[in-house]
Amino acid sequence: MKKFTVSEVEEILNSMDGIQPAEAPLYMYSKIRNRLATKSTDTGNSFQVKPLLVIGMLLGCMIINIWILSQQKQKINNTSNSSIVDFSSEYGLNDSYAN
Amino acid sequence: MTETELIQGLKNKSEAAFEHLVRAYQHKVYNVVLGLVQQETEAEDLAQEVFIQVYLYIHSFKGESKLSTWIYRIATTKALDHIRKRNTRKRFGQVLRIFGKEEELELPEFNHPGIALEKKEMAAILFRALQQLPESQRTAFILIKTEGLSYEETSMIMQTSVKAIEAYMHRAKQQLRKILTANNEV
Repeated sequence: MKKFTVSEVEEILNSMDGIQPAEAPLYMYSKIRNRLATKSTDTGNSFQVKPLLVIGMLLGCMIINIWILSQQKQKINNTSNSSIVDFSSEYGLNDSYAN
Repeated sequence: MTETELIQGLKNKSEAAFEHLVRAYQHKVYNVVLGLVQQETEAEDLAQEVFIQVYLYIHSFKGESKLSTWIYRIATTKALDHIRKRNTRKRFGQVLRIFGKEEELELPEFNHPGIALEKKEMAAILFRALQQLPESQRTAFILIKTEGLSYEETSMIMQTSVKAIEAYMHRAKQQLRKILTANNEV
């Protein structure tokens, strides 16, 4: 571990005196233009993808809803048929129907 | 191209005006950002983001300050935001370390390209110590020492008084002396 004396500390504090500004890397402008172009392309895509995604999700919801409704309707039909059969068999009406 | 023409050109999304702006300010922006983040690749990336922000939000520039002041303000804000995010990642990395996951926590030693060879080692120690200063002191120190801005310009960028900048600089030097003498591991 290095110990800094008072004079060393002052030397460290003055080490930035006469510093030259750092120069930006080459082709900064071209790189920025590329990033701006990519940014606008990305934005364009997101505008195209979003409505498609929403429409797809809505269609999916509709299909699921229709399927559930049709399933329920079928169930109700089956239940009402079976209750009539149960009722008729309980009161012995099957034979009379047969006759 | 005068500043008014440049601003008008930027507001009209003129390619020539934007190119002029980048060429005129690229070194200033990069130098300030590099001084604050102390990492070349990150500084380049942030400097590009600064110009993109200027290009996209020039309409919000009201002309109450000089264009350069506004650009420097964007640059320092972006750099400080980046440092905050980096520090958060660093803290998260320390938590991960507890669970046995290794994360790169420390920045490598920073050598500013504009420092004379014989001062490189000392300056690297100073840049490391600067990381421990509060944001306002660090920003004032970097703007004045590495960019060579006046106290007045710095006060306009940091939206404070000249007296406050003087106080930041005084406290920064005091704090750096304390860091360098008390904690020899900088």
